[in-house]
Formats: sequence, structure tokens, C-alpha cells
Amino acid sequence: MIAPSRIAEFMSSGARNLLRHKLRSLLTLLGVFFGVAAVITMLGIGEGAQRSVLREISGLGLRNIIAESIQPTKPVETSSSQSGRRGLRLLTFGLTHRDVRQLQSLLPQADSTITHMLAARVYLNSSRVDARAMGVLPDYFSFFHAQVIAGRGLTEADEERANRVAVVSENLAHLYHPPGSLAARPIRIGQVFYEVVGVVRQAAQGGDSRVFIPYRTARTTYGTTSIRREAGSVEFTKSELGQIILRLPSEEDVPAAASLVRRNLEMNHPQGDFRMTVPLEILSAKQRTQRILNLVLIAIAAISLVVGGIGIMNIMLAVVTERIPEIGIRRAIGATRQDILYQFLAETVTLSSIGGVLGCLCGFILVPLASRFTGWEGVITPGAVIASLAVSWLVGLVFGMAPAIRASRMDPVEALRYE
Amino acid sequence: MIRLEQVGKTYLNGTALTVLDDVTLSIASHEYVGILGPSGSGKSTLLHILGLLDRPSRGRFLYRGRDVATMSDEEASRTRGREIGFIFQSFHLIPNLTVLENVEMPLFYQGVPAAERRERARARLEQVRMSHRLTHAPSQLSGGERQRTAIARALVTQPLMLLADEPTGNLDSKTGQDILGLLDELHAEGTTIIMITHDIGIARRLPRLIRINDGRVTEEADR
Ligand SMILES: Nc1ncnc2c1ncn2[C@@H]1O[C@H](COP(=O)(O)OP(=O)(O)O)[C@@H](O)[C@H]1O
Ligand SMILES: [Mg+2]
Repeated sequence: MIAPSRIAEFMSSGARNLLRHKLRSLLTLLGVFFGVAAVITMLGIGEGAQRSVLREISGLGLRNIIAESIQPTKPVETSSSQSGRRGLRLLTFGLTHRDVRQLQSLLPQADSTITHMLAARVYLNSSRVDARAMGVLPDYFSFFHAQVIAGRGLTEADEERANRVAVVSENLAHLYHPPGSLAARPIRIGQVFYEVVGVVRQAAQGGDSRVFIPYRTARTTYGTTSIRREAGSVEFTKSELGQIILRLPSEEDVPAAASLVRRNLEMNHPQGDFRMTVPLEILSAKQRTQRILNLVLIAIAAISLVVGGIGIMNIMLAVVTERIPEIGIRRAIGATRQDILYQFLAETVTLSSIGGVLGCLCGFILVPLASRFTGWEGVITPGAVIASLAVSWLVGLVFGMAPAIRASRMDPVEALRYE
Repeated sequence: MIRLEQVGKTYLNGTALTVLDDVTLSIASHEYVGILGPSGSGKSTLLHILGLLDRPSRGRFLYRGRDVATMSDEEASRTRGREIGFIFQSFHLIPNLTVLENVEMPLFYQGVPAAERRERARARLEQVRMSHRLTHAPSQLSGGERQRTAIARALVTQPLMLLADEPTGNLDSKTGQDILGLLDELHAEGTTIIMITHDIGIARRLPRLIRINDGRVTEEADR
């Protein structure tokens, strides 16, 4: 094989030939430049999207299975009572403590917690705050990797004594300036005031604003029945539990446990008054679409690289013809066919590598720009840089092969006679 | 050093054209041989065969005892680079390279390290009195300077044999004399030289003359 120092000499003499025709070289490497810029940008944005999906969903706890009560979509008679005034009915739906017990015995290895969703509205200083209030057990926050970023969380003591204290999600924290003023401005849920004792950051909550109060406080203060007045009718809904959250010891246990839970709940709730969220399932579904999207993007980038490669090949074929006399001379002074092959390959590879490096640099500009305009995260990994440089190098090698072979097969005598 | 036995060369593009026919000759080391013949008689073809650039269609060519038919293309190329130096009528310098780089090039193909290449090329250029033009492009040189550069390139590998194809054909007579003088010096130092010419005046100066006509070696005169 050929020694690295020889390769370097071939490359540097190739580079000098390219510099002699700057404009032509520049135009020739444009195709590879765009191809590599596309590859690195797409890899960058694909990677960024993947990471934000992962972060968003893992905030929901990848070991969690979340079941929540919803109003059934099918009209069900269950315990709706038409007695009394017209248009007054009581709709009972959703998850119950019986479900919790059943699921706990089905999955003894899982931890569980429950929440109580409140229909009551939230006010601060008598103005409405767009936030959902819920009663949670003290361990709730650990299920969602929620961090207390100011004040404190909810404690067992709060739960036992049904204290009137609240913890707000991070996106409500801006209402409290400075953060030390939390206690000074109680929050009102329905008709009851709560002392705000802390702020939590919960990655998965996204834009939703939450106010958390102790579970027992929620149960005793608001009960399980809520009233909704609509045009001409008053609707009472009764829902024992807001959510049941199960946490498995490891992610591997989740798929089997999820189907167990799903089967059990479907059996006990044929009216479909629950919804299950399995973060791990969402993640793999999103990752699947992400992979397909990535493949499409890569295919587009590959096409532009092939087009770039064909451009290089085209020019190099012309260059070979232009340099036929030179090939004859080099053969006469001792160059073997292989030497000629390497000479032209080195030139093409140098050209495409320069295109690759420039394309890479362009990617470093494009990725942040693209993420600024799309709001997606853009990440350029070392792997992406290496891959795109390798690809540009490979494009030179593959598409330079035909011109280089043609040059090396040239008959030296004919090449010397060529005018 | 060289032995041709009934060598022929026929080009087969469309119609068969026999350029060399039944050529038998030997050339020993340290000879200074002229090949004289009119244009189109096959002189260059013969020289290309002698220089391992081309191969005979018929007959046997022994190069330093070795049948050339058994040499691979790579072997022929390497031998050419190491043992044979070419000088052409139209100089055949590589236009993109400087004088020094042109002279270095044969050593590059022998894998000589860059520093040594440079040094040896410089020495040869000094020998042909071209030291003042090392970094010039061939296009910036006069015909005589180009040919002197080409001679330095042919000599830089210290070849056993110099093959010159009408080396003075593109030069005025004074510059031509200059180049011939240089070749004479090289021969005096022991280099084997085979020189093509169609100039009878030049040919007469040489110790040995081979006449070629219509592809046939018609006369081999020893004097
Ligand atoms: N590749 C080729 N194909 C066909 N004919 C050729 C080829 N090369 C040379 N010839 C012919 O061979 C003859 C001899 O050429 P050449 O050896 O160059 O002659 P000289 O050098 O004596 O002028 C010429 O008639 C030329 O046209
Ligand atoms: Mg000729």
C-alpha cells in the first residue's frame, strides 16, 4: 500500500492544482458543500428534536404509568339521577379507590400515588389565574422528578393535618416577586385561601400551570362532587380520584405492567371513563417517527451529495482530458498507472474534503439559525461532524474513481502525442 | 545493454499501419548512437520502444538481458523511471510546476524524500546552468532553457541511458549546439545516449549512426 507521507504529497500537489483554477474548483465543490451542509444541519436538528422529545417525556417519568379519570365519551346511565328538578343530573365516573387496590395487588412491585383534580378556579388578589388545582400526596413530586426550587414542598404533616398550604408550578413563580414574598400573597382556590409555601419545577408539565395542595385538604374542602352550570341545566359530576400513578422498579417492567393495567381498567370501566398515559410508549412512538423523519432527511442529503459527486466527476473527466499530455510526461519519467490513479484521486478527494469542511462550518451557522427560527433545539454532535466529513471524503473517492481510472489507463505514447 | 531481434510495430486502428518492420540491432553501454531518418519513418516509435514506453508488436526486445514481453506495466514504469531518461523535441515540461519541481518529479516517483529530491534537482540544474531559474514556470523560459531543464530532469535519476527525440528540433542552431555540447559532455562522463535526428549534419558528429527509412533499419554504419 501507499505510505501516508506519499498521500500527503499527492494531496498537497492536488491542492495546488486546484488553487490554480480557484473559480472552477469552487464551483465544483459547491455540490458537496451543500450536501454536507444539509447532512450536518439535518443531523443537528434531528438530534436536537430527539433530545427535546426525550427530555420532555422522561419528565413524565419513564417508569410511570398514569391513569386518569375522564368524563366518559359514551353516554352512560350508571347512577345518573333524573329525580328532582328537570335538567339536574349527577354523573359519576372515573377511577376509584377500588381500582387502586386492584392495581396494587396486580403489581405489588410498583409504587403508587393518587391525585384529586379540582374543578374550582384559582385566584390571586381576586384576579383569575389560569391554573389547574389538584390535591396530591407528599410523594407525588418524586414520581415526576419535580424539584422544589423555592420554599418547600408538601409534607406528611401538611397531609395529616389537611393544612391549607399550596405549592405552585414554576410557571406561576413570576407572580411572586421577590420569591421571598410567597407567603405574603395567599392563593385562592374556589372560596378558600391557601398559603403558598413553595415552587416546584416539573419538566413534563410543559406550559401547564399547576397549584398543588395536600390531598386530604382537597378531599375535605371540595369533596368529590363538582357542579357545572350550563345553559338551562346544572350538571353534578362525581369523580372519586383524579389520577392513579404507578411507578415500576425499572423501564423494562413497564410494557408488561402497562398492558396488565390497561386490561384491568378496561374490564372495570367498560364505559371508557379513564385515560392511560404511558410515557415510555409515547417516547418509543415519537422515536419511531423521529427515525423515519431522520431517514427522509438523510435521503435528501444523500441525493444532494450524489448530485455534488456527479458534478465533481464531470469536471474531473474534463480535467483529465485537459491534462493528457501531462499524464504522458509523468508516465515517461517513471509514474506507474497506480501513481496516476492516486494523483487524480487525491485531487478529487482534496476537492470534496474541502467542500466537506466548508459544508461543516456552514452547518455550524445553519443549525443555530434553524433552531432559532423553528424553535427546535439544534445539536451538532462530534459524531455528525465525523460522519459528514467521512461522507464528503467518500464522495470524492467514489466519484473521482472513474476519472482517475481513465487517466491511469491512458496509453503513455498516445498521451505524449496528444495535442 | 539493448538488443532488438526482428522487432516490428503495427498500429491497428482501422487499417493496419506497419511503422517498424524487422528491426534488428544492439546497443552497448556507453554508446552514443544517432538514429537518422525522415519524418514519419518510425524514429519516435523506435525510441518509445527502446524506452519501455511502448511495446513491439512482433519480435524480441531484450533490455539488459531481460525480455521486455515478460515485464509488467508497473515493472516497465519503474525501470523507466530509474534507468532511462527522456528528452523530447517539444521539451514536455509540466506547465503547472516550477523548474525545480519538474526536475524533482522523477525522484518523487521513486519515493525519494522531499529534501533529498530538492538537493539532487538543484545539483542537476546547476550542471545544466539553470540555477538562476529554479522557481520559474516553464512558460517563462526560452526554448534552450526549457530543454536544459528537461535534460536536468532526465539526468536527476542518474539513468543508465538517455533517449533524446530530436532534442534540438525546436531550437535555433546556436542554442541547439549548446544542447548538443551538453549531451557530448554527458556521454564523456559515461552516459549511454541514443539521439534521434533528421539533421544529417548533427548525425555525422556521432560515433555511431543508425539509418531508418519507412520503418526499416536500412543501414547501420560504424565509423
Ligand atoms: N498511435 C498511432 N496510430 C497510428 N499510427 C501511428 C500512431 N503513432 C504513430 N503513427 C504513425 O507511425 C508513423 C511513424 O511515426 P513516428 O515514429 O512518430 O515517426 P518519426 O518520429 O520518425 O517522425 C507515422 O506515419 C505516424 O503517423
Ligand atoms: Mg518523431
